[in-house]
Amino acid sequence: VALSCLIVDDSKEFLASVAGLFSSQQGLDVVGIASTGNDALRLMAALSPDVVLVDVELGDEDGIDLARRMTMAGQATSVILISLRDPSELAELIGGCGAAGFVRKDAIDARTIANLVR
Amino acid sequence: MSGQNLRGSADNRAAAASRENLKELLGEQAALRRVATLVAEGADPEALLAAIAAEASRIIGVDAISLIRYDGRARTLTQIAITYAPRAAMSVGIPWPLEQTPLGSRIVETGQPVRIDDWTELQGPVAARHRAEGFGQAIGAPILIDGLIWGYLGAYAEASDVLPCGCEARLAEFTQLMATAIANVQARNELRDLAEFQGALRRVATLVAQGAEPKAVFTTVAIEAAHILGVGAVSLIRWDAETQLLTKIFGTHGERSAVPDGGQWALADGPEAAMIVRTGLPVRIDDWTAIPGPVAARHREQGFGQCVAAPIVVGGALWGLISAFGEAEQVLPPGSETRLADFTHLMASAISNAQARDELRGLAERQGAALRRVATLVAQQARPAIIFNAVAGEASRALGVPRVDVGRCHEDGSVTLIGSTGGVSFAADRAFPASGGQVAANVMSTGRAARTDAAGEGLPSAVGAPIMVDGAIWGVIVVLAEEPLRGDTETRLTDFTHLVASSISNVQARDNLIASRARIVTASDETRRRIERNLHDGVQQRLVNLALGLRRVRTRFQLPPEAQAGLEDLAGDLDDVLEEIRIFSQGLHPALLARAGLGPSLRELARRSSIPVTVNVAAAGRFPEPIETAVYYVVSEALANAAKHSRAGEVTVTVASGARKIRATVADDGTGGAVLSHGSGLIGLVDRVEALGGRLTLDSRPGQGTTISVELPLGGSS
Repeated sequence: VALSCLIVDDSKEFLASVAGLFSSQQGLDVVGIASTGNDALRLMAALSPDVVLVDVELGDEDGIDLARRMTMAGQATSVILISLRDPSELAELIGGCGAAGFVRKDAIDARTIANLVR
Repeated sequence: MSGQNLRGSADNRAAAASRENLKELLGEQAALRRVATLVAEGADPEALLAAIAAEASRIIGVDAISLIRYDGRARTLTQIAITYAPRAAMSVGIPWPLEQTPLGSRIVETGQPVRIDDWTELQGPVAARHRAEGFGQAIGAPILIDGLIWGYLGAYAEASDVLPCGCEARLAEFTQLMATAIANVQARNELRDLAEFQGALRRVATLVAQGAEPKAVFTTVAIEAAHILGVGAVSLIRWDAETQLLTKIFGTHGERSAVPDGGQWALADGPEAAMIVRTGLPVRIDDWTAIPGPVAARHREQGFGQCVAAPIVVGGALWGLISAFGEAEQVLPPGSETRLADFTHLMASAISNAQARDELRGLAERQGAALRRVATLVAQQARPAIIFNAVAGEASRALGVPRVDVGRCHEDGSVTLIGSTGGVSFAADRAFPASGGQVAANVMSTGRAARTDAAGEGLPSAVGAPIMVDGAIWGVIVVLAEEPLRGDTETRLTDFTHLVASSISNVQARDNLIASRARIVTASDETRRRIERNLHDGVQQRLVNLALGLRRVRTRFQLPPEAQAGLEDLAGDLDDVLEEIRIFSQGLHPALLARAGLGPSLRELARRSSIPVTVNVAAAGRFPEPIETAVYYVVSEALANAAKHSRAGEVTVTVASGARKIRATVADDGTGGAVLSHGSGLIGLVDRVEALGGRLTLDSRPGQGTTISVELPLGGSS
């Protein structure tokens, strides 16, 4: 059974890249994409995805803060942070935000994500 | 015959008269010759005047003759030569008020020879003494020199005798003849005085010109006065009208002084000073026996007698006085007080110069010291608020004014407070206090010192002066007091601001330098951040998209193994490129620092370090970006050095901050011996730290480990 997935990133090209990759892979169905925190929260409430990928640097918004709000919403959705940066760079920030995991963007893969959710 | 006889007797009488006249004439001529000889021989004035009195006695045929000097300024008469000393009403050298001397007062009044036949009704001590000593008729004739009454010759007959008629005319003739001699004596005296005074003045003036200590000048003045008056004891005394106290500046008589040098006493205890303060005129005190008080008692005890004193007038005000004391038996010649006054008059400008120089030097020294203190703060790179609070403090001290505010003038006409005797906190850029606002505004509009006087309502008096830096009004110093400020406050404050302007321009130059260095560092930081951002949002993002696309192709299509392998190689190369860019980006700008501040960033650095690092960040909250960046880089570089060179087992990073500065220390327990110049990346950070007005220090004695500290001031520089 494929996991439903919401992707949140301010880069349209990146959203397209990830959606394209997941569509070619098994295990993840992209059910929605968002470029802002508000859109993301709305879609998450509407779609109740199994997993949401949140970019740490969401334009001017703070992806980590968004992740915290998502996990505190009480839904069963797993939140996974993604970034171009190495996790070692951001470990200090991520701690305590409730995210299920952190994946560097160039390492994004359906299986990797699925493993973090399960 | 009888006619002949008559004629003969008339001739005889005429001959007798002419013989008498001739005798008189010859007598006078002889007297004049004797006096002239004395004059020519350069006899001393006392001997000469005594000779004149004796000649008068012989010519008039009266034993009691006195030669009396008239002092028109003091309106006193003084015996200077006398033929009948024990019986004289006035003793030699002691001035008597003109009005108490019947003969003298009439001569001075009329300028004519005077005769007083009846002394019985005359009042006063001189007349009483005259009667008591058994004198009767008296005549006197003025000694006129240059048309002025120099004095007179008096002749006093015994009460039992009658003065020959016409004798006052003879006396008048005689005095006329003697006047030239007396004038010569006086001229010689004056010449002697002049020479002595000039010599003294030259010596004193030379001292003043050489910038001698005022003390040396005063000492010389006192010694010269002692020499001129022929006494051993001369005191130079300062009078303070405000405190009503006398201060002994210098005395030539050392241990015999009633008051030691530097000692003070009340006006009431200084008999001659009290008279001078009251009258402003030279004084003479001959009899100290009845004068009360400790100073007079000491005077008697030490065997002093007569005293003359003269005021020292500087700038129209009584500066002090010079007192000269004779020994108990010594007679100070008549006119001594006048000579002292003349001498003092000449010395006053030297004394006032010495005093002015002293004040100037004091001012220069005080201001020099003030400048040194301010300059030291500047050199120590103290915070501007500390420097300008110090400037306010120094101005307060230099001008003796309780409150001083230092303002910075801005182009829009506003003034902000940058220093005050009340203290200005380091970070504040406060509005200038209203109490000095009007003055500051006036100073700014005129570019000159300005004043407002106390206008009630608790508004103080204020004087302000501009601080000119590079020809422009940089700021203003305002002094404030509840009471009206002295009239010369503007001048003194302007002098002060001139002197401190150079220090202030140094502060300004330094601040400009710091600001420009900080701008350069900030600009370069900004550039690095922008490049990092551009990389992140551009190249990095697109390469990631590329990598994801490549993965998608490899997943989606069943490719021949060679193609798969080729794509795998490509994906590997792409990962390598991305990794390189990540590392490069991190070096460009620590993204985490901007997002999370020092604590998380330094802990992150610690995590990546190859040696165990303990991070203790006591500084909560965020700091200005340049500060955080500098601390981050220093810690980063120090950790890198420790990992490379120190062979340390452990490193401790400590960050602490107060209100004014932040301090970070990286200490390892390694081998030490590190130096900043050893090709260390730290050397490049020294510039960054100094650009922020901070300091980077390295303590790395061999075997003692290495401690690198950075200290940075917080709050914007002015």
